[in-house]
Amino acid sequence: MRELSYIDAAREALSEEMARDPTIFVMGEGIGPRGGNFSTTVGLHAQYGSERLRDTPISERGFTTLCIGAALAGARPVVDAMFVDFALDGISDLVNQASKMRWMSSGRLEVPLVVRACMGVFSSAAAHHSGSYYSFFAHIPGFQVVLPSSPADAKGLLKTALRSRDPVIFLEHRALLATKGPVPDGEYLIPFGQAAIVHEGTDLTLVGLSAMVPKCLEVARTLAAEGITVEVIDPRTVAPLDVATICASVKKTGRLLIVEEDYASCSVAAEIASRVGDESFDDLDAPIRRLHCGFAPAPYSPALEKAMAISTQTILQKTRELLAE
Amino acid sequence: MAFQVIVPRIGWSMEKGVFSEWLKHEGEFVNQGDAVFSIEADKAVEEVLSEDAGTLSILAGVALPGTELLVGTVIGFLLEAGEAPPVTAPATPRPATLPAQTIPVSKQAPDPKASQAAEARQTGVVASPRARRVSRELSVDWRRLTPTGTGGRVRERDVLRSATLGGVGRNRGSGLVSLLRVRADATQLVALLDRLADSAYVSSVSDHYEAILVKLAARAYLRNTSGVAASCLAVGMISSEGLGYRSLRGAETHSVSELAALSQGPVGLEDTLSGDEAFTSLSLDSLGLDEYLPEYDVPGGQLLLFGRLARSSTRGEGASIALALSFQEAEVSLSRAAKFLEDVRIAVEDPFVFLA
Repeated sequence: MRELSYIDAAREALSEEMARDPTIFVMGEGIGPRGGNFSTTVGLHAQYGSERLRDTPISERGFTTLCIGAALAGARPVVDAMFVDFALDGISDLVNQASKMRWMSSGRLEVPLVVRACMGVFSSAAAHHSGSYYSFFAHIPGFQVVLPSSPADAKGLLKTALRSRDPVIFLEHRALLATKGPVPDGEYLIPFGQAAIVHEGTDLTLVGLSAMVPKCLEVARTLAAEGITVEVIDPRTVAPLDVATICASVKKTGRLLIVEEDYASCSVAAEIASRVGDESFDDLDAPIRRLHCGFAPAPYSPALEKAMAISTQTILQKTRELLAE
Repeated sequence: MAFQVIVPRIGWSMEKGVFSEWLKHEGEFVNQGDAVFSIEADKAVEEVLSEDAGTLSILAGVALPGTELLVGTVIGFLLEAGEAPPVTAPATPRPATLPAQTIPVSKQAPDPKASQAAEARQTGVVASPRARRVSRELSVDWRRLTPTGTGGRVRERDVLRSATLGGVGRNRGSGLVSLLRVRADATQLVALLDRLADSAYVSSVSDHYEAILVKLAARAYLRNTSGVAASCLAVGMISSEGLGYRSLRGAETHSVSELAALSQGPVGLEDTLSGDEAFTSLSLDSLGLDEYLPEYDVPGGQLLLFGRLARSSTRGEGASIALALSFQEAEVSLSRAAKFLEDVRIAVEDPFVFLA
């Protein structure tokens, strides 16, 4: 199978869908001839023109709200917010209009909008460029929140997002953008709400989100050499959230460690822990454990950033601890 | 009815206060809203207004000027005309006639539930939910087990080890005969039996249950022993005359119908098991029994498998099967026996896949 980088696979999805559906257009800062700060739209301006790749001033609330209006009027806008931290400038209309419109209009109005942005603690981008924030959106009814962890998933999930009838928050971790992986030829879509079992095992279940998935896989491979088999699950979308696959895994393993690079309080991991506790209580052989980044804004200092983020070594250590419980 | 006069909590963080003075005398009538006493808390003296009415009866020796009192301390009563004060004061926080740096209230009164749980952990009587579930399934009392989990928690592995080691054991001449039990969902198995019974392409043998169990067990055995032939196995039967066996060779190669035909007919009671048989499937349904520990020695290496099917009276509804395995610990490793029984359970629960 051919290998593509994560960002190239996502761009391929966008290009294919723009060719298929003329109502799709992208708005964002530097996404025109420049091709996007994170190369999200490289080459697309030459192919689809300024009408469909609309450069904007630094005015997130303005162009986000404009896109919500365009979606209501029948287009399929993509807000390319660059950093999810910047998408927060448009959050009022996303929450107060986009997420609610289907209900408020008794189903007569739809907002087929995709907000895509990069997220995560990486490369000393500091407090204003390292947020995750997906738990904000997952908390609100009406949003679908997508966290691809591999090039193949980035493509298949973005294509599904671009055909969805409701708003989608599509978040790409910066640490993943340059990672390469096999991407199937031809057209394929990955449905929302379907977790992937990326490594099978029977001793412990590791649920990883976004950039934590490859780290969890590394841990699984390390432990496999010692005869310990860890099952690694990637929920892929946190709204909708596929708890059934996690519960089925916990039925086998009896042990669950959830790893996400977001703050612990009110997090997606807390939600998963709660629901697995409800549904799989009798399958648990040890308490559900969670691993999160430090509860502070991401620091600029590389040393402090490293201390705050989650390393493969930390996951390995926590996994061993839970195996011993 | 007497109302208690207590030290109230004034402000969020107040745990105690220093009593200043009574603003009413012993025996004086107090109306709702009257100031009864004053107390110093958070560096301010506050007058405490009464929420009830009655004749003030001051509890002797408790609220004295300058005394430190915990929130909730009863310092007196408001009585109806002619009423005597309660003889024994209700349980109250101990008045703290102690220096200001005493331990905070919350630490003086630990949560009884929490201390019980801590005690339970220390004495090793907590179990994980999964361990409890498996204990129920295997009829093991987890309270008697030696926990290996953090903080003295019984884990699933502790229960499984106990089930494998203990079981229902009897000390016999040539070694310990143990019994392992497990209950399996037989919905799929019954569906398969029903389809065989309905099919025109299968010979008219009335019941394939025994043959399918033998077949599934042979498959599970092969899987368990990684290639060792299960070509020799026996089908046993207990009747009023006693226990009989029929050797059945090539269970892994015969079809279910062939096995069913082979196992028909009377079983010779004079036949004894030979050491050749890998395992034996025993039918105890006629006696209504789930399991059996033979009175005479089972030849070395023998595993006796029992499977009693409990079908729902309504066709198409759920069913379960009680599986049991007896074996000699001296001959068959306990973990191997447990693994075999578990493989049979998996096979019985999903026979379509296992026979494929």
